[in-house]
Amino acid sequence: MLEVRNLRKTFKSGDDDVNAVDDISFKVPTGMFAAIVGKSGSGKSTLLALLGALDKPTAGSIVIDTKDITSVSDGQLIKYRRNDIGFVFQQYNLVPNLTALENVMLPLEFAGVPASKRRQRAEDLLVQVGLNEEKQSRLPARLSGGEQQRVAIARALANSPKLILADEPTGNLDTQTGQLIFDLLHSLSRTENTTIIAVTHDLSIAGKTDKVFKLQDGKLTH
Amino acid sequence: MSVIKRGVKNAFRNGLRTSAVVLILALSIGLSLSMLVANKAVEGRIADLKTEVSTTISVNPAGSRGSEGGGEPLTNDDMNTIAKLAHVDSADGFTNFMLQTEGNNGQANMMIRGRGAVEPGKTNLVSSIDAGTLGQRFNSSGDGNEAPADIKLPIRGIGFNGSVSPEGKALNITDGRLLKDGDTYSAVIGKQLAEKNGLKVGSTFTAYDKTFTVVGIADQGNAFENDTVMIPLEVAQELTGFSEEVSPIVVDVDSIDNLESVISSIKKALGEDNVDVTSSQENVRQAIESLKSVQKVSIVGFVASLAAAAMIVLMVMFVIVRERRREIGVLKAIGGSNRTIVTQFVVEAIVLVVVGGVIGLGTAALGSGAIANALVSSNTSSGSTSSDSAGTQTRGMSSSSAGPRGGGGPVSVRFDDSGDAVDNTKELVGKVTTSIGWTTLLYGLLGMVAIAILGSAIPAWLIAKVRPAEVLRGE
Repeated sequence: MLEVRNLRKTFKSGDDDVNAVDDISFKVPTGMFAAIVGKSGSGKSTLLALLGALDKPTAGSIVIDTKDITSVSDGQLIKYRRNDIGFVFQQYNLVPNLTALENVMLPLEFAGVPASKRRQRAEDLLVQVGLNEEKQSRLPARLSGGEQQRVAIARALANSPKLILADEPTGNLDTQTGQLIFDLLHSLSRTENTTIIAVTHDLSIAGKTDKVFKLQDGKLTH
Repeated sequence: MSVIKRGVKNAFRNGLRTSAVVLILALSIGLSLSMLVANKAVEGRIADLKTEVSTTISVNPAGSRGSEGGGEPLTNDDMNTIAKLAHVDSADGFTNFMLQTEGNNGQANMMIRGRGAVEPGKTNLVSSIDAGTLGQRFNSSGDGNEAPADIKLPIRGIGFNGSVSPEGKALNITDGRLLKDGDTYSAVIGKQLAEKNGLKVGSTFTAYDKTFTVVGIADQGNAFENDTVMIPLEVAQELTGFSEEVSPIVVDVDSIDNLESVISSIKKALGEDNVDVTSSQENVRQAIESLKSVQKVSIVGFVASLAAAAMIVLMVMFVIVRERRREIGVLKAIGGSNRTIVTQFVVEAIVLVVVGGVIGLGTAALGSGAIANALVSSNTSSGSTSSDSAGTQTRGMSSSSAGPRGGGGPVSVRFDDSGDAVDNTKELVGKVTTSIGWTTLLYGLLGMVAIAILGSAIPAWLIAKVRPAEVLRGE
């Protein structure tokens, strides 16, 4: 269970304070696929960064299961990101000089998984997202956008996180590929019993998720 | 793939840039190592020069050399004053005299260093040197009359109590012993003189109507010095009638490094206008000073090259970190710790430096000799200088510190056609031989690691500052 309570993130803009996220509270049960929608500048990415412990809130709390991640040390936050969170980015953000397989092995290495197990786990995940052995050994530049995003999803799943945060996961893909990636995420949330929160501006995709949170000027409107 | 492997792989991520960086680093590190090698080589050459030379100073009355010039004679008190100065191992005063074989047909009076024209003492010894043309010439009366054909050359006599000859050479006693305190009518005899007169340790001979006992035989390696009678200073002073006077005083300094300061101290103690203080090792000292300046230059060069290499690494790593800011953010977002990511970048820097270092080492191996000799060459003077303090050895009998007949002693100054002394510092320094030893390699390795760490320090700090949230903001 993910529970967000009275979450606020304030940025300085000149002499003014701007609330990018303004007193938001919501709950997402384990295994749910939720979407956050909203216009550009509505605070979607800021909310995602807070949920992923990439940034610290000005106020409020984020509780995953029973752990409040807003009150833990930086070291524990790294562990949280490493073990409990998986990220999928709009621009894939794969390491360009590592093969698809090596990219998926990275979070496993950070988590201290032995080398032999890393490779097996990464290969299994890549097969699961639809990349064969030949494509697994390719550098990201030699993969299509959709394939790169599949690698990114496999990487996000590597340490079996409780929560996958996807920032516009279909934003750089054509409609058909975007749909395929969305379906993949959806099925993974079922098979892996992983909570997925995806930021998107594509309402047709958002409409297929279990729950939609609508953000406007940093506030939840729906 | 471990963080180390990833760091190594990243070092070659951009082939063109890596090649350029490695080349520049190789030049920088090569120059740095060359400077280090040059420094070590010069250090070795300085040590060699120091062991090759003696550290003696000759003190004469100001304006006096041999039997020429003027000034006031030096005394036993002057000798004792010098002996007490810092860094002085010993100060030995000498008094010179001449012995004429009884019944010889030579000159009635002879020019003696520090004595002028005096009547030589009579002896039953015969010089071991045949007069020859030079002997005939030197002993002619000067009024056009040649010396008699059967002339017997006078014998050189020295009164002193030390172990070093007036030429600055340690006495090489081949039999018996040196003169010691308490000796009176005892003598050390030159080897050839002893052989000529059938003298051995314990034999006796007469001089100044006194009977002397031979206590030692000395072999100084040349016929001139081996035709010498050495007796205690006080006895020589008494017999010649010049009690308390010494000329010259030969000072042994503890180290060539202190030669200059002892010369200054002597001048200060005895009065700059009263004495001429010269060192036959002046050129060697100048050579060592030149080499020391090369050492300083090489150290500056070493540090500057190392700093340049560190700056290169710093700039390159700075650019790399800026370029990969998003990637760093991603690595942090997926669980990479600062330590892991910094390690990856430091490994990358180390790889660049090591590759550059290996090529630099090759460059140093090939070029250090030339660089060292170029440094030495540019820091050692050549050409003519005045003979003022360049050395005590000039030409002819009157200028010798050795005694009345000149010659002998280590000749450290050459003369050009115009009669000026030629500074032979360059020849003394010679060619510096370089080699890359384990110590240099160790220093080089430490230097390379230092470069990599210094060069990565600021980029590492930048890495730590990267916030993973920026990855999302950049979308």
